[in-house]
Amino acid sequence: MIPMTQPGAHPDAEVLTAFAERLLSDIEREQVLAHMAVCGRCREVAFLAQRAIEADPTVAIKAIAGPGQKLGAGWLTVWRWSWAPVAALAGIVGFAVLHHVRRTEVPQTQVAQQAPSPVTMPSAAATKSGGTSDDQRQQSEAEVKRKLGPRERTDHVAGVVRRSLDQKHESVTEEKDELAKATDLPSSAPVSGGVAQGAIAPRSKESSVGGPMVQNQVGLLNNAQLQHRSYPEEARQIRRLTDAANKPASRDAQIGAASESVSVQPEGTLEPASAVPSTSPQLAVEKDGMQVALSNKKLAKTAQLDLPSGLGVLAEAAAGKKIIALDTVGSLFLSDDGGKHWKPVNPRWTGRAVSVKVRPTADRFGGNMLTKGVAEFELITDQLEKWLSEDGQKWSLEPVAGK
Amino acid sequence: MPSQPIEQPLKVDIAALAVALDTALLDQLWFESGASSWGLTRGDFDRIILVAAMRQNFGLPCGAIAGKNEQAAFFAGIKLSDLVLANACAEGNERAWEHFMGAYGAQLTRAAIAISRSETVGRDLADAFYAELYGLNTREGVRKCPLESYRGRGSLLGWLRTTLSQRFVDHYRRTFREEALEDNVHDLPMPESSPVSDGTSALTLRDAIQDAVSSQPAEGRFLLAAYFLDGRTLAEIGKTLHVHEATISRRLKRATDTVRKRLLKNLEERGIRRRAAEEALGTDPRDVDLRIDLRKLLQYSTEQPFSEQAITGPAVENKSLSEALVPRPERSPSIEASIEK
Repeated sequence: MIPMTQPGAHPDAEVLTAFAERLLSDIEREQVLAHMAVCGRCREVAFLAQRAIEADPTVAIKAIAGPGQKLGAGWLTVWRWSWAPVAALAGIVGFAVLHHVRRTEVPQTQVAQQAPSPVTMPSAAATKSGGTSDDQRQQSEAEVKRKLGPRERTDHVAGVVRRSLDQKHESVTEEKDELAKATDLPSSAPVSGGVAQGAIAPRSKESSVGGPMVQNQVGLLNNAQLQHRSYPEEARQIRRLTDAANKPASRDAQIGAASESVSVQPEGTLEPASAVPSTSPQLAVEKDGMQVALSNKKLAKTAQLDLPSGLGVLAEAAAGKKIIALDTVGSLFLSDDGGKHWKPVNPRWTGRAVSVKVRPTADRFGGNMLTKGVAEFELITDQLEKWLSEDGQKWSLEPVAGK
Repeated sequence: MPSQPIEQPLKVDIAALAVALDTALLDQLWFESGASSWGLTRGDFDRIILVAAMRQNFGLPCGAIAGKNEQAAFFAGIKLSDLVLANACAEGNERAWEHFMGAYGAQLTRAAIAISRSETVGRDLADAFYAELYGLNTREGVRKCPLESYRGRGSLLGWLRTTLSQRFVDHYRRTFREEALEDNVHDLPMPESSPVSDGTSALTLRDAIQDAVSSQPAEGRFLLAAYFLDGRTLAEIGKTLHVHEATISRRLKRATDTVRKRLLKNLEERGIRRRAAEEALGTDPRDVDLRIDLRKLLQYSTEQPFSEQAITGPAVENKSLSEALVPRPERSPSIEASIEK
């Protein structure tokens, strides 16, 4: 029964349309196909009509969605097989980022000492054991390590760490003496209620450690950083021990702890690693009860700064080419060109600035410290006020809860 | 707007048809068609529905009387709103034309451009088709509107596209012979033809090809023709048949393999050795006989009307088609003898 075909040689437009829209029965479809197999005109018409359908954007969208399928319903199924590789890739990237951050996380710490007499205490931040000879030595050590077995390697590493620590101790002691001579200051200047910003962390309250103590975190961190290149594993062990001893607390707690009277004891309790004997000398140098670690490079860099006041540099912090520096009387200077030219900064704070530093990235976005924006530089006064600035020129007092 | 109303639909004597459409069904159809949204009156709607239904006798064979169920089934199987709109346009209803142009005007122009692959030609084609749809063409003084032939089986837009394609193909076939040949055509060398040993072998090969191709099902022949003769891509064929192009590729390969096997078998049955038969497959079928090349073989149009072909049914139709593809000449005794040799 084909009542809808015109009498003639070709199926009419009605039948061809029904064929294109799949509305024909199987028998009718076979008949139309049989005709189109021998009729070039009807084939041409069918293909042209199909081309016209494809040119219609609305039909194209429906065709993509499929018959009886809602638009946008299958987006999940489209991406179904993409989840696995994407998740794996994200995991790998995340692991790599975490690994990188752990390796490169170096807290920039500035140590300043408030004292009746201006004492130049260059910070011991970011000690780097650079140099060609050091690299060569590290490479040879690495070669030796590769050739040794696990047990021998441990003993070898312990010996190397000990030698390195001895050398560092000697060099730091020499530098301290030279610095004391250069500044013509008594090296045994007493520390009264010293503020060691960044270097002071509240100790763990564990009984094995004792009460609040000032832990010279800088020294151990420098030690860890010193060992980081040549012996990263050992440095990490030392650092883990240090972190365990100095449980990081909130910034409020740090600030609160900084106002306490501090009694610094020579630390003999820290054991960097099992491979390192407990009798090994600490990198920290005792100086009137306060352990100050000095860095060769930092010392040289600080000594290079020529401030307009003509005084020595108490503390400095750099972010890119922008450097801020405190001289020994607490005046703040700002340089935008890496220390070539300096201009004084009008102090908005009362009292005397004792420390400057660049805030670590983790502190910028963590906690409730920053609610207004990103601060680059941080300045601490002898009133224990913390001032923040993004450009080193305009400073604002950091709101501290409870203050 | 058409100035002269189309009389053909109105000539139907509704009273004489003695058809009683269910009032409830009419109300339901009126609601479903949405014709009131573009201004059709209920009286016109009833008349259009009744005429359209009676022209097709509700999809039943001639002489059968449709009951309420058959009537409802008939209207459920057609595009009612499109049918009403098309018939209203054919009657010259201005509101219907406004609605038609708003709904299909832009799409029809786009379709014409896509069909002709030329914006200029496409717009001309669309304009000419609009004029035809308006009923500017007259036959024996009576306006003729192609929309009268729309019966609502497929969508009106699809019908418009197909009709537009038919107009374009017919126009092309009428006019392509008028185009001047390029000068270098006359200087082309004769194409190299594959060597054919003698007429007897060519005749044998031709018969074998006929049998092999005609033994294919309708879809296989359509695929062979569309792919090898028309040069359509697998994607184009797949979209036309609503299957994936990979499926078309598989079916096409199956058809080709079947034709090849059947061809070898036919040649062997005609007394040609297997090796010679395989060598004969390298012959270009177009060189077998200039009068009976494969294109003619496949595109031979039967003189039997399509409607009559359809009535015969698939099995008979295949047979008639295979006979009609190429009329087999009566084999002379000399040819039979040569084949036996």
